[in-house]
Amino acid sequence: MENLYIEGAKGEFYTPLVNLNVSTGICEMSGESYLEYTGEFYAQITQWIRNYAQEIKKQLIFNFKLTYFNTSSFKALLGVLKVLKEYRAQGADVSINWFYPPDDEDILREAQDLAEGAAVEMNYIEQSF
Amino acid sequence: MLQNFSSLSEYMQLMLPENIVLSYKGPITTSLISGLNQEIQTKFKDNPRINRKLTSIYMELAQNIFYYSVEINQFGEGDKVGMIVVSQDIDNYYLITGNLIETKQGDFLKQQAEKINSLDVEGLRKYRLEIVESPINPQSKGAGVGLIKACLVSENAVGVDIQMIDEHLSFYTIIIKIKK
Repeated sequence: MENLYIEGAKGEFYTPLVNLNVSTGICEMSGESYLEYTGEFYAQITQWIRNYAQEIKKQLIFNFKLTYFNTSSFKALLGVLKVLKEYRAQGADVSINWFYPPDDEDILREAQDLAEGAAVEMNYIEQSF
Repeated sequence: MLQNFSSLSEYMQLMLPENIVLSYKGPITTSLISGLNQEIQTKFKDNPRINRKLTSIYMELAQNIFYYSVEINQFGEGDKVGMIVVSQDIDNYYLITGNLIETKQGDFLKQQAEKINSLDVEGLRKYRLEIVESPINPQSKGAGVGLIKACLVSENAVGVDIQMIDEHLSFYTIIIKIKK
């Protein structure tokens, strides 16, 4: 199984940086998410988590540092959280951390709504980035 | 009458050149959406709070025009057409969008705005999850989510106005107010 690395980019669309590491189990998504093919993009992430759960079966730490995501990405992120929840339900050690910039209550509220929608526990960490 | 305004003249003040921060009417393409977003970020770079709120609402409403406007640019690529204005008065910034819709969609869009404006913050958050989780409504494609986000982020009611042009077409205006 390989790492999944997608370079973040901001052009006609906004691609978040994705860095999912097999050997450390530390995963990060950061930047902004406004994509042309949202479903296909996020399917790579959910598939990677499923493969990790089947093949590696170790601890996973998922850090979100997104500063903007559109409605399609909101739906797709719900999907990612649900897959993380499934892995946790299998008994795996899964930490989900949502980092948000100081004073950005709007993104914090969206993160909380994602957690509620996926019925998953998440840590919220205020941090400049 | 548009919510957030006591009179038409109060609304018209926002369209005076001295109050306009940014104004665009024309084809709405994905490049244009990103380009105008960059423009807003540049204009508000010294005010991170307004910058963040305006751009996140702008992105939702611009995408709504991109998906739902029924006005098509007959020249070039057949792009959707719409209007985007950022204006201000002493106390507030305003994001105004406008586009043509089918007249038969008007009642649905009005009811949607009324429902959003009737909900408190917790109600809006629940309603957003309901829409996102429900099978896609063929009439809306989940477009209400953008308006809910606009209401939550702006901390104000969404202003919606629909002017019938004829039995087929109406002009749909959305105004979002953000306190300075």
